[in-house]
Amino acid sequence: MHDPRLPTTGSGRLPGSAAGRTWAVRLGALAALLAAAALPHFVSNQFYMHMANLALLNAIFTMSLGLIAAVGQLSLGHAAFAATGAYISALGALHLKLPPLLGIAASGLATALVAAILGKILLRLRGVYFVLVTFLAGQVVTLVALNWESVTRGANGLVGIPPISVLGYSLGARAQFYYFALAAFVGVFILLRALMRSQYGRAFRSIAENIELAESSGIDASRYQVIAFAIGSGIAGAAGAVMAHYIRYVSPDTFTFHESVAYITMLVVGGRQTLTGAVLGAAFLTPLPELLRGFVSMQHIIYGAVLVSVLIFLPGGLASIGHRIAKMTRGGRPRP
Amino acid sequence: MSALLEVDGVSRRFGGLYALRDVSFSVGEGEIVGLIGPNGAGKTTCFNVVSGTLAPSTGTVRFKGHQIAGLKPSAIVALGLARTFQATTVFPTATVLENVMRGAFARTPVSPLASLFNTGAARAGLAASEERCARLLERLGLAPFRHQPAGELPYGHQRRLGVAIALAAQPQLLMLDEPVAGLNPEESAEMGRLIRDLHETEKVTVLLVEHHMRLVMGICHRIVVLDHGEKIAEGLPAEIRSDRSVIEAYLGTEEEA
Amino acid sequence: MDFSTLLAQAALNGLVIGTMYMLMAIGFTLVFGIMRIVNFAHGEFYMLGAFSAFFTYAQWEVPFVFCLVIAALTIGALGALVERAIIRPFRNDELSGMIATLGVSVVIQNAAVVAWGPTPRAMPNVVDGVLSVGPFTFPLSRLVVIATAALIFAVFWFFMQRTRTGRAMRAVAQDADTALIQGIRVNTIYPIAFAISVALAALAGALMAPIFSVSPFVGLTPMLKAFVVVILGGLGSVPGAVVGGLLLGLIESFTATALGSLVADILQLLLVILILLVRPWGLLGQKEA
Repeated sequence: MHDPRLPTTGSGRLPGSAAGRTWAVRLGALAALLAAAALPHFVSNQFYMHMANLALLNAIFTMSLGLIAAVGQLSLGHAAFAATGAYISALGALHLKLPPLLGIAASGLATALVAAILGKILLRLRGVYFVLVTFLAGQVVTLVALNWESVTRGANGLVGIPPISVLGYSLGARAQFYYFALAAFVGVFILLRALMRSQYGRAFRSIAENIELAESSGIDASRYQVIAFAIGSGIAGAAGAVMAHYIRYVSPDTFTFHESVAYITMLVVGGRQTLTGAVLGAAFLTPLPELLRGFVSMQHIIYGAVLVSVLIFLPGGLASIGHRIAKMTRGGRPRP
Repeated sequence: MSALLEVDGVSRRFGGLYALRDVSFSVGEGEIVGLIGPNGAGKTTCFNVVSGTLAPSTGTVRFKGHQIAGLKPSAIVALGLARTFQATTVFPTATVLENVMRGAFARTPVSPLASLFNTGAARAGLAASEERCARLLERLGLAPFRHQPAGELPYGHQRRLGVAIALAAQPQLLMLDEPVAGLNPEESAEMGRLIRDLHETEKVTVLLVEHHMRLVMGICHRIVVLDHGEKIAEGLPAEIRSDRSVIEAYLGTEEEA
Repeated sequence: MDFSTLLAQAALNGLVIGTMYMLMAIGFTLVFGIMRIVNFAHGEFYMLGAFSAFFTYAQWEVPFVFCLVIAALTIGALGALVERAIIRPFRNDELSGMIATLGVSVVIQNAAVVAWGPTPRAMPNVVDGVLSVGPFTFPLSRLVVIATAALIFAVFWFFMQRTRTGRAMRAVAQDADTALIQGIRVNTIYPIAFAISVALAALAGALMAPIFSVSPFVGLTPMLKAFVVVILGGLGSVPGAVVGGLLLGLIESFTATALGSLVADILQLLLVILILLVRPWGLLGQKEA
């Protein structure tokens, strides 16, 4: 049996070609980064800039969700952590005049801490209970945001959140914020990539693949699951705060269960196995609803249909397409 | 001979039923001990209690003098006790080498944080660990497959890889859960030779649960027999072979079947 | 209104929503017990049941008993179809199956918005009038809901205990491997189990349609409550779903009367997390080995 998702590099793989490929990947990444940095010079349409900003933020949400998925867990409360982070930073900026950058950092730390505590409790549970409770925890956050009116202003939400400013330079405009979002995206990408390549990543993959055997190999599964859940949720919290300072507004509707499902959809459609998959999913699905503006329900239907189809017909996601083509042209066997 | 593992008065209940009742035995350093019994005798439960997968309801398990009953499996591995599994022996989508690297996780002298920053020390530590794992694969005849996904190996090789993963944790006590289940006679004989060979050259102590009588009689120094969750006999293979209660409980039922 | 009337009313309301939670949770837990699938679309089948009742009863004026039968049959058939087309490919992949049901949920809910619009619709009561017992008066419409739900549960219980298919389903839930060895065919059991599960959800929706309004979004709360109930009662346990459902309905009704419904909701969710701390396998569930 041949699993088509796997690189079938036999013992015949030449170190030279591997090194060559690494260089090609690095050059490609550099070119993509340069193109991304130059984007605002070519795109004057504010709406497209907005899309690019949302895609970058969504990519961060999706990558961080992917980290949690990498230990074999599914969080249905990812948007709730984003909401928590958004409210913390917004309240800090509005009431304590906390600089947004500080607020974002505080949001990330606070949500990571909450996730670590919640995770310590929940990860003793089998996978399904974990999913159900992340779902319920998400509902708690929405309910609290709606009802704690003296602080959150209920359904009206918090308005007039200040934009991010770096060294006194305000990033209120879309093109300026874009550079911040791009830097944040690259930072998170590099961090998660290093994480997945370290001993942490080895532990994560072991747990996802065979938790009993991982435990018996000396890997403390619950410890690493908590670490992944805390880091993933902390990144979501910080990114939620960034979003609040970008759209200058946060309400219980900003991050709901629908957003949690959207991040899962992006992750699955892009590909759960790799970091690039998460990025592809966000890049592909963020602009999609805009093609159907005014038909919100149609957007959702398409999201749902794409999610189910990809799960059934392309389990490796978009990221696996290149691999499949490469395999076919190499004369590999077609999929059974 | 000092006792490496001491199981003392261990019971385990599921609901109201005893899967294990007041079981005591020990494994001395350098021994190969077999744990046998008919189906449902409690062998696997006993195995799981010792390796930390299950906590005992009562009783103690000591390894090198440490009380280990109820510890997490990962903590028990760190003390030097590793096990294999009957069914899920490998990480199927990872390469053979990566499988063994994961097995060596507890013995890799690299803190995860150092490996995150990819420090020179971390790189050196990982390289050393990889070197050691490659030698281990060589030793078990799996080196030619090192870059293949473990799930693609033939079944017999997967079982052997399971042993390699456990050995990568550099255990003093290696626990094997039905190492030859599902193997053909030739592969079984080969596994038996491998176990004896490892015992001689690596000085590893072995505790194995097994159905396959010829293997058990052939390689074990001492045998513990369980039936209905209780220990009914313990002794040299020759003694067990002629023990009345064992014949009744175990060999008898096997002949009927 | 005096205190005892308030209490009696809270108890009746608690029983009404309790029976609804019970029907929802039984179906949810049944599918998990048998198929190891967490069905995030369960609430949408409740919603479809409510719409089915709305059209057949309020618009076409079919007798309500037949409305229930129609809802159970059509939506049960839809469930079998969903199982065949979308759930089956993930038989050995719990996580992907769960994500697939999320997709199904999104599609059904929004298809309902496209087809029927987002505005809530009111539906007339099945019966009018009240029952007076001493100082208390109970609306008959509520009592009918409780009685019908009890009847539905009795039929379900009879089916599970006394029919071949029901026994086969219980066998699979208890020990799938052994059941398979004994020749029980998964390809027939799974669609039936899924159909029964969503038919129960549809019946709950149809029963509740006159009490609450009908809209494409009514499925979320019942599903949320089904989650709470199965966490309390133990995932996969039918008795746990019955006791948990009724209990949750009553607790909720009393706390909502005392503290307001939103506070009651938050307290409830926190309570669940607390219970999981102490008994991760549920109040009535079996501790796993």
